[in-house]
Amino acid sequence: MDITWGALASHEIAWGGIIAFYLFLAGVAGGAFLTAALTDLFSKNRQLKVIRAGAYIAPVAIIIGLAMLVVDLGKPFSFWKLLLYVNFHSVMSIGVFIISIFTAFAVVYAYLVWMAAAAEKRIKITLAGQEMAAAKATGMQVLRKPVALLGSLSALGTATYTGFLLSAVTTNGLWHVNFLGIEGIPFLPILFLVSAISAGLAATLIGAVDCSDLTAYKKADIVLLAIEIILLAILYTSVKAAFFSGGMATLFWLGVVVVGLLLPLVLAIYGVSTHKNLVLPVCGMVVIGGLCLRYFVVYSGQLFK
Amino acid sequence: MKRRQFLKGVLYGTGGTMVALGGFGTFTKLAPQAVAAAKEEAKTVFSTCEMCTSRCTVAVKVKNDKVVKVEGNPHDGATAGTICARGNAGPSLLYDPQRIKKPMIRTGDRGSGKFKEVSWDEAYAHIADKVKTIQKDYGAETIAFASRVNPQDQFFRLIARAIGSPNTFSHEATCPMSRTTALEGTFGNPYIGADYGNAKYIITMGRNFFEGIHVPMVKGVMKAVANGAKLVVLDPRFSVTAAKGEWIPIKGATDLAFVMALANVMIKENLYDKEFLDQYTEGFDQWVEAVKDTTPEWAEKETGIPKDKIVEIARGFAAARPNALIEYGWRTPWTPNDYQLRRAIMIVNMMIGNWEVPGGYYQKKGAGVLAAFPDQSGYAKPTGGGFGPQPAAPKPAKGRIDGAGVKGTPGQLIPPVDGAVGQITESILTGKPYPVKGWFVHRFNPVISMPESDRLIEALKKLDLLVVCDVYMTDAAYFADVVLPECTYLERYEPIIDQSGLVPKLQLRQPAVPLVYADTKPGWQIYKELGEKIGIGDFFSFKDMEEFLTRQLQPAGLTLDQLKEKGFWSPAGMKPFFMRGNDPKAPAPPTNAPNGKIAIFSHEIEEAVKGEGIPKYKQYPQPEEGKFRFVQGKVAVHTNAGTHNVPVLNELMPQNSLWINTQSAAKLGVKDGDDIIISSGQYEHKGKAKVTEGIRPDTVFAYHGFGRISPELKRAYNKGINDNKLIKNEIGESGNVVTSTTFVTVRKA
Amino acid sequence: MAKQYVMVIQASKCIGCQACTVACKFQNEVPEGQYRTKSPAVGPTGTYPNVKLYFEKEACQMCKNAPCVAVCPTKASYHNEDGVVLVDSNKCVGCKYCMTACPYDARFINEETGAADKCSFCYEHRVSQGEKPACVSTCVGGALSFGDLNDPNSDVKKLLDKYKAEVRKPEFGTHPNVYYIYEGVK
Ligand SMILES: Nc1nc2c(c(=O)[nH]1)N[C@H]1C(S)=C(S)[C@@H](COP(=O)(O)OP(=O)(O)OC[C@H]3O[C@@H](n4cnc5c(=O)[nH]c(N)nc54)[C@H](O)[C@@H]3O)O[C@H]1N2
Ligand SMILES: Nc1nc2c(c(=O)[nH]1)N[C@H]1C(S)=C(S)[C@@H](COP(=O)(O)OP(=O)(O)OC[C@H]3O[C@@H](n4cnc5c(=O)[nH]c(N)nc54)[C@H](O)[C@@H]3O)O[C@H]1N2
Ligand code: SF4
Ligand code: SF4
Ligand code: SF4
Ligand code: SF4
Ligand code: SF4
Ligand SMILES: [Mo]
Repeated sequence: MDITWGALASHEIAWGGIIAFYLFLAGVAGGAFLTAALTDLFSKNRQLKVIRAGAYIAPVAIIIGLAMLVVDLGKPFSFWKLLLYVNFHSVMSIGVFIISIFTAFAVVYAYLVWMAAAAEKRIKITLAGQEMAAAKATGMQVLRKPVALLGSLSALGTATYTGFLLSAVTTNGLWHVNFLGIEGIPFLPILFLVSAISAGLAATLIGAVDCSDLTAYKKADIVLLAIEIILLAILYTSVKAAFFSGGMATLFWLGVVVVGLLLPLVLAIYGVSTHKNLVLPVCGMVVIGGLCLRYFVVYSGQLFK
Repeated sequence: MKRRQFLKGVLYGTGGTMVALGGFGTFTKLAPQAVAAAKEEAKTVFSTCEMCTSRCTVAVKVKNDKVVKVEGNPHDGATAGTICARGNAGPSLLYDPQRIKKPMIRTGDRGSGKFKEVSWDEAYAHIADKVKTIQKDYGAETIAFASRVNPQDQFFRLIARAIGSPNTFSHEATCPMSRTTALEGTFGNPYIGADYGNAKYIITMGRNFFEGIHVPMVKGVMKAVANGAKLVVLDPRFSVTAAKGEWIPIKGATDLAFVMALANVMIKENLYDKEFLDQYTEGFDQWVEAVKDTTPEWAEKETGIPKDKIVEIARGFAAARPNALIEYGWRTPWTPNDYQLRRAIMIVNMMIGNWEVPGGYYQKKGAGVLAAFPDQSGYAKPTGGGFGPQPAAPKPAKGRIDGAGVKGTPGQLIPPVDGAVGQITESILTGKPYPVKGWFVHRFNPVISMPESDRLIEALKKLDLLVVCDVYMTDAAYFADVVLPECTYLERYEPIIDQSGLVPKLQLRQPAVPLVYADTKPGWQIYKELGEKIGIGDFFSFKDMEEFLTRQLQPAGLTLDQLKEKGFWSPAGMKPFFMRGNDPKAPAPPTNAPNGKIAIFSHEIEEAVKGEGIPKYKQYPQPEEGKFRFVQGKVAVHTNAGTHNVPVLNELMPQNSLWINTQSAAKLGVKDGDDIIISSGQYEHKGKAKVTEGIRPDTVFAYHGFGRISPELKRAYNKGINDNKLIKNEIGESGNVVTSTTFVTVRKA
Repeated sequence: MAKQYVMVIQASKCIGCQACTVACKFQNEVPEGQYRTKSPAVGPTGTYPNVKLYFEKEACQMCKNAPCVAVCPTKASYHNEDGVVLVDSNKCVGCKYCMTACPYDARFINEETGAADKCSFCYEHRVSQGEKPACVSTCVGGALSFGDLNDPNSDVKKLLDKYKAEVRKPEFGTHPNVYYIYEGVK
């Protein structure tokens, strides 16, 4: 532009891809943890592969996510101040503690799962000292159920937190939208929770792909996908059309809806009991869809506020 | 690299050790700052801005010998303590690492940009040597001197006088020269000011108050507008000034028709001050005769302004008399006979008797003017010269190349102190009336400021000697033999700056900080030392500027310390002095007015060019279909050809574009932001289109001073459009350049 | 008594000269390429030859109900005793949450400090010392006024009594302390 008077203050995107990815990873971590922990706690046949995959994915995802969050800070080396100075009115401030607690549970839980697995291996491989190892492992294993239970609560917190973080921005027409217009029930935490569980579950299944029977999980996935579709339909009708325009339209319709929801849903229904080799593509697409959803919400909310 | 980016890079890339080290670095960095803060020594130095030549008063904030900020001078009512964006950007120029820091001598071909840094002694010796050779081979008069008018001209021009060259020029032919000629022809002197603040009706013919900024004038016009004054803005394009008043998109180069039509209506409807004209002016009858046919109907055809609008403006203007004014213009060279427009403007002004009354024109009240008024003469005494006794200067062997000031010839219209600077190019290239072989340039950038850049560069290439003194390696310096780095206005003293208006006002420029680059020097010192080298040191008989300033101030009964206190001096307790303020019948002759009267018919001009004693309308062509008139103007955040490389200002506006009317652009298939080629037939320039409703469909516009040619201006180089590449070097009737009669075509690139 | 500092911007007097823009940069050492304030043009609107244009200074609106303060996890963004919204760059971690919350795009991450930055009403270095903010002191057009709205003799109080003033984006309920007077331009 020619003239200084054309130069508006920069409408910079404050939160970009790194934050979108962080929100996605936090969701995946939460969802994976829930998948593993709930299986551990409530499943009768306790699919070990599922538990292990979920338990390992959770800490890795949340730690990478946190690293990304720190890197995105203007002052990465002051991240510790987030723990020092607290603002109870700030969702982020509360969230920092929820995530910290979750991370701790995720790490401990993964460790416990890993120890059990290691002990099991040792039992199989070495004969010498097997009793000791097994004893030690089982000794610690008493913690496993409480950790899984409390960890699940913090995982739920983490998954919803990613939604609350955005929905607390009252000045943002997309982020702050209420569920069915009901005052006090923000929409994003619900959407992000469902999407987190769905993506976390999908990621876990990818990790446990050679498991014998995943039917129950596949069914859960179908339900989650269906709920998500309904939620997105509600979102679409509750906010202004601009949020679904431009490049964001492509991302939403192609990435979120087609790749993330419709295709996997169709394939999943088709392959519910048989077709083991459909797990990978279905789950892969669900994960990608989850990522697209975070990108879409993060960017569109800022571009068209 | 920015610290944050660096840290990020570290985080993304390597691992923990590096992170830890980086983190440690940030902590240690805090320490020296804290120490600096502890022994911080702050002061305010009052001085004068030179980011443009409006020369507003400033208060320079200095901490530990660093200029941290430049502010308006709170003691100065004229600016109300404000300064513009450029004035605020002073420190950015001062500390710009791209300033020239050492004298340089060219080592490659002209225009190759190859220079070597030399000592001042080497530079002086090189120049002295060349000057002597040219003097011997061709005569001293073949060395021309051109500077933008500035307080140090006395030193620069002294070199010319002492070696015997009559060819001294200022930039004024590119700027207000036609106004100067008009004012001299009408009032006998050009020191006429306008009291905008008290005006109730202001008509401006392209004077773009709010972009061509002079802070006290902005304050004045804004005060008037805030008080409900009518502001009528005639301009082919929608300027910021137009946005603050009523925009009348006049056809370019037809302004004189509008002014003569105003006179026609005012005479027909008896809307003028006959008594005033009888008492203070002569030649009104000839004017009545001259405008008897310049009816609104006629002017509508010329200017494109509806006749009713012209009548309405004439009535509104006259009804506000005498507190109304038609602005006489500042940058004025629209057409070859522009001075007649300025004459006509002043005549119509005088028709409402807006002389020496609030809201009108006045003689600037320096001490010399006040001396004639017993009740005012006590307020101020004139300043003196700063030089000591001067030896006699040699008489130039030949007259000036432009014939300026020669009585009884058209050259008489050209003020000889300024000269027709465009003639230098012509004399270099054509050898007429005799060749120019050497050129000294000070604080002036002719390659960008004068028309026909390519032809000018061609001329520069033919010179035996080109010396340029500037703060940047400018587009002119780039072709020089010797480049002399001056320090900036924040680092030097200068002679007293007289900014008298309705009261006397003497301003000081003084160094706020020591030299930032040790090998730069103030102009006075450069020319004094060069003079000594050339063997004309006797002319520079002062030790330093403290001595020079003291000599200047002594006769006025003032001291340097007194001026340093607030940076300027105005007589305490003196009210704005209008000669007719209390008594509309009081004698109020302009200084040096011929016969003591305001000359509506000017014998002086008649003497120069027969038949021109009273303004006559001359019709210039209008662009035919498919062509556009090319006009230019100032932008608020840049100065002329001066600031486009100053970091902070470059950042605000790195380039210009060509304004083109929406409908015209549509016809050409040009969209906003498109790359275009602008062609004058002879020259072409690429640029970007700015499609806008704010311009006549037959006109295109660009902000002046962009498209820089010197690659050493690293930020501004090759960015935007250099208007003067497209404009022909034409010398107008009063020696002015001509900038509003060029037609161009535009096409998509 | 606590002060209520407000800025009043008279669009009709703003000439878009950007003196405020540059003064602010030097006063607050704002890094290259970044700005706490700018005065862009609104327009030109309309069709030739009936066009209009005015300028509108942009900066933090000093919201009484400031979303940036509400979301800040470290309380680095806060209201001071005189109702001015400030950023404690030491406490700030640069999370940018406040930037997403500000409906006026007033904030940015200072490239040198890494902390959130924005207009401070020049509180620390000027206003608390009895001076006007840098932009107000240098305003060439005379468009900017600053003062304590609780002081009946202040320019701002007089202006707001005399003219109809607007705040930007009132729908967000932020209750800015920066007022715009559009008389003569709209
Ligand atoms: N910000 C800033 N301020 C400055 C300067 C600067 O460079 N930048 N320079 C200073 C200097 S040296 C000067 S001389 C003054 C100049 O101040 P002004 O004299 O106000 O000069 P310009 O801005 O060039 O304004 C010229 C206007 O005339 C219009 N115009 C062109 N041709 C015609 C015509 O034929 N008829 C009519 N009616 N209008 C026409 C142009 O569109 C433009 O808007 O500003 C001074 N102040
Ligand atoms: N086509 C067209 N041409 C125009 C105009 C236009 O509108 N259209 N405008 C015209 C007008 S009004 C004018 S006044 C002229 C102005 O023409 P110039 O006088 O050439 O322009 P400036 O930008 O005022 O300053 C010239 C040089 O002074 C240098 N300088 C700045 N400070 C210092 C210092 O302290 N010491 C020294 N030695 N140098 C310094 C700058 O770096 C710059 O190179 O241009 C005119 N040319
Ligand atoms: S108008 Fe601006 S740049 Fe020119 S002297 Fe005044 S403050 Fe300096
Ligand atoms: S304008 Fe933005 S930064 Fe300023 S107080 Fe309001 S929300 Fe905060
Ligand atoms: S960037 Fe700084 S001021 Fe803004 S919310 Fe984060 S910590 Fe608070
Ligand atoms: S009040 Fe101070 S910080 Fe705010 S815009 Fe003005 S100069 Fe900048
Ligand atoms: S300094 Fe004043 S007139 Fe100039 S742009 Fe800023 S607010 Fe407008
Ligand atoms: Mo000029």
